[in-house]
Amino acid sequence: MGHAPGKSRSPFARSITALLRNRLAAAGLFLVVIMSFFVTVAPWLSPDDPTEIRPWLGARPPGFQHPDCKSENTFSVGAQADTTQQILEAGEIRFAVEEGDSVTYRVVVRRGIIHRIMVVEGAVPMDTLDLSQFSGESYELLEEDRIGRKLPLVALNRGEAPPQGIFADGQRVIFIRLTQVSVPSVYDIRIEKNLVYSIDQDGESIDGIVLRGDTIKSITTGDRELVRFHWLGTDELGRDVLSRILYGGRISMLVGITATLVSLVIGVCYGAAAGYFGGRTDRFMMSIVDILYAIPFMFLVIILLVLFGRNIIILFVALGAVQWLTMARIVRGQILTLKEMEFIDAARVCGAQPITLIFRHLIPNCIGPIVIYATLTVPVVILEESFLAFIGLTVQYQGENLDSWGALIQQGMQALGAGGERHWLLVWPALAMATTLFGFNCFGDGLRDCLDPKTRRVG
Amino acid sequence: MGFRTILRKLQGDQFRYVVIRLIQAPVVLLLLITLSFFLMRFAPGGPFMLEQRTDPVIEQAIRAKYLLDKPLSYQYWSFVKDLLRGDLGPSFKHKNRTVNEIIAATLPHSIYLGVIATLLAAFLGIAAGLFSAIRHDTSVDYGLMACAVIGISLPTFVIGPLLQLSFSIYWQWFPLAGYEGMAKPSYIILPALSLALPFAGRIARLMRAGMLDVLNADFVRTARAKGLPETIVIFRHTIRGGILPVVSYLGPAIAQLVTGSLVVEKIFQIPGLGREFVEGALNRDYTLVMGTVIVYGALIILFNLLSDIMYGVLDPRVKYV
Amino acid sequence: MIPTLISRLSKFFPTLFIAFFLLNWCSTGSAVTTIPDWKKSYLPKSDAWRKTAQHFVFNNSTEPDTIDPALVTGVPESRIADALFEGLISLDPKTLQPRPAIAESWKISDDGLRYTFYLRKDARWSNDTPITAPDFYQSWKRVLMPETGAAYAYQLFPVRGAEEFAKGQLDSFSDVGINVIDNHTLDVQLKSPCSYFLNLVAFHTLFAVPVNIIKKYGDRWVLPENIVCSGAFTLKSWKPRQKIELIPNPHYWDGKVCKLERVTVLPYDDLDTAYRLYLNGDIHWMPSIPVLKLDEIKRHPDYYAMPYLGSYFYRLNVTRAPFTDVRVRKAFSLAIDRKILTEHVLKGGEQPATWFCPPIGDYAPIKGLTYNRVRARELLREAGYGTDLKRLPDVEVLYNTSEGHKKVAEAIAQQWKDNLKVNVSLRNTEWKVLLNDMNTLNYQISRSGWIGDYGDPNTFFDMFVTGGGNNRTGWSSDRYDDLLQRSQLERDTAKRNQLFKQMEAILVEEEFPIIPLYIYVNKGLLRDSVYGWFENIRDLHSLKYVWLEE
Repeated sequence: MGHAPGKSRSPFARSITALLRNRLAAAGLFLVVIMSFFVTVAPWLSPDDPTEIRPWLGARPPGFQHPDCKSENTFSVGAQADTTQQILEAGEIRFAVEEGDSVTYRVVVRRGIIHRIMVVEGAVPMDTLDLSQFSGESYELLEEDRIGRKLPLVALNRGEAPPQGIFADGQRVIFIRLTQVSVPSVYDIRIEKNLVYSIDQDGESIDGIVLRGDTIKSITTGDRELVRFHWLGTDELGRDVLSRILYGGRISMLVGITATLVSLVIGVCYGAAAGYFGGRTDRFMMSIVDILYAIPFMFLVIILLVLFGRNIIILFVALGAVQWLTMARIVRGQILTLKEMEFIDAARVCGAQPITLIFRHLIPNCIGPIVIYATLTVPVVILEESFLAFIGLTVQYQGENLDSWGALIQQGMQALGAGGERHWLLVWPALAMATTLFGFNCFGDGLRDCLDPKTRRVG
Repeated sequence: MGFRTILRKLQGDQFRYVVIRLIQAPVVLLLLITLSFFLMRFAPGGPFMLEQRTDPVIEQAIRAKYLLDKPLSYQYWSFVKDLLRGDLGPSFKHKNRTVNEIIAATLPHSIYLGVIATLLAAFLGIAAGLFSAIRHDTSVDYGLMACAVIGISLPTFVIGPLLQLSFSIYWQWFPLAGYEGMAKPSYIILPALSLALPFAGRIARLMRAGMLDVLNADFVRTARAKGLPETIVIFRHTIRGGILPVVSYLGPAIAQLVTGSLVVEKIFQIPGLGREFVEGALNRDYTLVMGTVIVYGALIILFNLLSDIMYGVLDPRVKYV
Repeated sequence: MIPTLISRLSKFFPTLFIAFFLLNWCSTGSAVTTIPDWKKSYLPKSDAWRKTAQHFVFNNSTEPDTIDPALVTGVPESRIADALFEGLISLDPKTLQPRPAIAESWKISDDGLRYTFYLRKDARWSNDTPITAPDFYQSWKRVLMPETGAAYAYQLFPVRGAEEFAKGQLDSFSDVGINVIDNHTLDVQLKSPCSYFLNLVAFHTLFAVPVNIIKKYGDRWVLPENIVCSGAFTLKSWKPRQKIELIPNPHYWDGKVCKLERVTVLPYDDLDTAYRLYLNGDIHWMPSIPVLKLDEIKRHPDYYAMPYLGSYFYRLNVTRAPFTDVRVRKAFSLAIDRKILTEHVLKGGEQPATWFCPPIGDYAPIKGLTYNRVRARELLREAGYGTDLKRLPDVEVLYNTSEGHKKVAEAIAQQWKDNLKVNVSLRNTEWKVLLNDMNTLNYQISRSGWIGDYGDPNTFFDMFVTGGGNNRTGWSSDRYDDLLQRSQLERDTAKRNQLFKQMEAILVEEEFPIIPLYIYVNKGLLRDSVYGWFENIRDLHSLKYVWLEE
């Protein structure tokens, strides 16, 4: 009416401008939006099923790629093929396979002589390992099951110096893999409408074959190679780390937001009731809050989770119940001042019931502090959940573990290695979690500074 | 500030408030005890279950030894009665020790860790907050505050191993883990630091906010106008007011410090009370869990009370309701 | 009667002690005659060890519940109890055959029912009083009394009347087949022949404990200020969660064998931290290692692995569908490729096993049925489940919370999903809850493991006797029970092993109340300066033979 268009700025718009001018808060908001977006669209974004296990892969660094197949792929002519969707749709497909039985030995030298020889499987100790007796070939087995240099076919005896050419300079432990000579084979398989039409092994037609994921070296269709790419590497069971972080984020965020909502509902109702009715009721209700404040709730949550299972529902309620106290105090304070205002009197005169008054008129008017406090509660709950995951109380739903960020960090830390060899298992989940928490904290603080500078002391 | 001054300040309303809190304390404790007692007893899985099935007669004898064959109400009252005498009973798992002994042996280590961590957190946090407030709205301010938020956002169990990897494996400045008491303080530095950093972050933010409030107050402007040097203005006139939010935070902080130490004690293998609690819960060691909960509950109540009192002493404006 | 005997005899002990001291003193020059050959081979060949400080540090991975040998149930606790106390018999550190300890010799009657132990006269407590046959009588009585609460009291149950006494059916202990002949002779009568009884006598539950000290101090008798030991070491200090320190027992009869001057036992349960300490050079021996770092640790020269007397398996609840049908149970067993499990998931060299009992002594297991998913699907079809038949109900695997069990369960669930097209969910609970669920048969499939209590297949096979406390599957078989009973009466080793093989066949080829997965391998790290430490299938390492040499 009185203002020219373009110049009119509601308090809300002004707050938004102030918020965006606060660089930390703006960065926080940006991070929160980005992370929430990623975890919300996780199922569409995630390149992989986070629970799919490929044990033969093991932990591989970011950027690792491998032939895209199942752990066992069954093809028999005339029947439906049991393999990935991608292979089924490819039509004509070629597998390069290297099979072969192998035995692995571990040999240790101590003070220049061979101290221990054992077959790795079953840890069977041996006195003599005569490589020349085998028809196959022997290789050094490196980390992550990579094949190293070829070794001479010589005999090793316990208590004697190792023969030339087995140990490198300064090397004290060697894993020797003996493989039966295996000719790499090529399978050409034609699939039509999910049914296997023909299988050729090195040009000869066969009826059926089971191809194991660990023996497949490459899969090609036409001139395209089917590979699965792991942006952030894989964990020890060959699961895709990126997918696990995205899905883990869903759990963490879900716990954070749901528990915050629980605390919001309890805290707002309780605080509003105390503030509205005032007087003796208020004093009584607030002294209960005082008493509960002194209870170390995390201890009760731990006892609760240890004893009654780690159901996600229990966790929501338990963590929410820990957080509602401060919310109740804030809302009560707001309501106490608000209810003296004229518009409330006006509403009362019009015959509004207490419930209507509280929910229609009072609570909407203290939405600012509620939002601020809720924003700051989310990271606290996420941290608490991760803390519980760290001491071994992972969230569960129907008995199945839901690996949240906290659980991923804990697993990553255990798998880290003394010199941090498998750092990607720890660094990426930790980064995802820290970024989110950082975002929430900055955003919440920024909100507080812009909307309500008075409540700065709420810890 | 002398003891007499404190007493003087605590008269009237404030005195009444403290008395109410003191009366509340046992009620809170009893509530806590009752809650955890019945939670433990209604849980599935008993404390004496072993891989090898124990003979029923023997199991019965063991249960009788710990009164577990009696009705719950009897167990509860006998527990409360023993508690009033200061006896927390025998530990179910550590068969040769009483809970009193376990707590006596482990609590000092936890307190030592907690005190060092609190001092570290207070020092780092107050210094950073102060500096950041003085250099308000500069890159120093932003940098320090970003660090503070990062500190708050990183869980203790990430900070701990990172410190271990850098300071004891890479640089080898501090021992990796273990505990040698006060004789070798080098063992306590890393655990205390990883416990302190998140709190230092929070304290820094509170300190900065408090200082900003006070620095804009009229009496500070007057002091400046009088031409007093800036250092004197800050140290003589503003710190006392600016530190108030930090003081009121210290009470609740103790509770978080205690939970944080569960993790730190595990990572750094410190023989503290926190690990006894977690393991006690996992092993259904009822008495030990009760003992630890009681001790921690009492500590938290005590520190909340102290923080309230201190706040009242420092802030002349405060009126207790 | 017995106390008066002791007091009367104790008058003679000073003289006896001096006599033996002189005897030992005189014979040190010709020590060859006093130390038996088997033991000599375990001792240092030169004096080089004297240049090294004999302070041995190992990580025991947990704070012990107790070190009272009668009450000890866990492996970490038994490591300490075995160092502090000794029984009539001890096991050879390498071959695990029975060797004289406090008994210098023993006699077994022809019918295998009567064991007579002759105690050595120089055996002494750490407070310099003699260890006598009445001490063992009292110690064993204490184990059997229900109020002691010894969970392992059943180790004495082969003794006539012992089980009845422990269960309160026998009022007087004098009716139990344990008799003191004189101060140095103990006579034990069994209720039936028990070929592994000497193994039990060497077990910590049957060790000599100072009963008069226990009467005096109660539960606190094992604290350093009160304890009196019968073994090679005594307790110097016990700082909970910090460390336990052992020093040699100056009055131990075989003290000259013992080289270590100090043993520090660390209770660090965070194995990652302990491993870092090991790499720092602060620990000599780590009997448990952080499994997730295995890839790295097994390339450490100090890493060792050895077969262990333990079996990892899944129990099937045969009272709940679909596992009421033996064909379904068999199909689930056939559908697991255990090699994938051991090679890619565990990676610790575990032996993939389609059998339950690991090889013990002369007992070699049968091979069982290997991975065959085609046959597994056929079996399911025979049982009436398939795409065109009724749907296989969802199954749930129950395991106790641990990263290792979780990985195994996830890998197996994936195989069942792929091979049997069945929905598998996983549920994990705390250990105590799992035991409760197993005892009440409140599960479908549950993770289990079994570590042999003694070196005889019986420790594995008597679990599945009908109604046995450790059966926990609801399965029972008359034929199995009959074979078990026959094996317990049979004294010929070869024939017994045949009976065991038949029982094994029932378990893993015919009835499948369990699905065996792998045989444990013991993995650890041992510094190369440690000598006198021998590999054996029970992971028993008597500290008295250990010494350090740089």
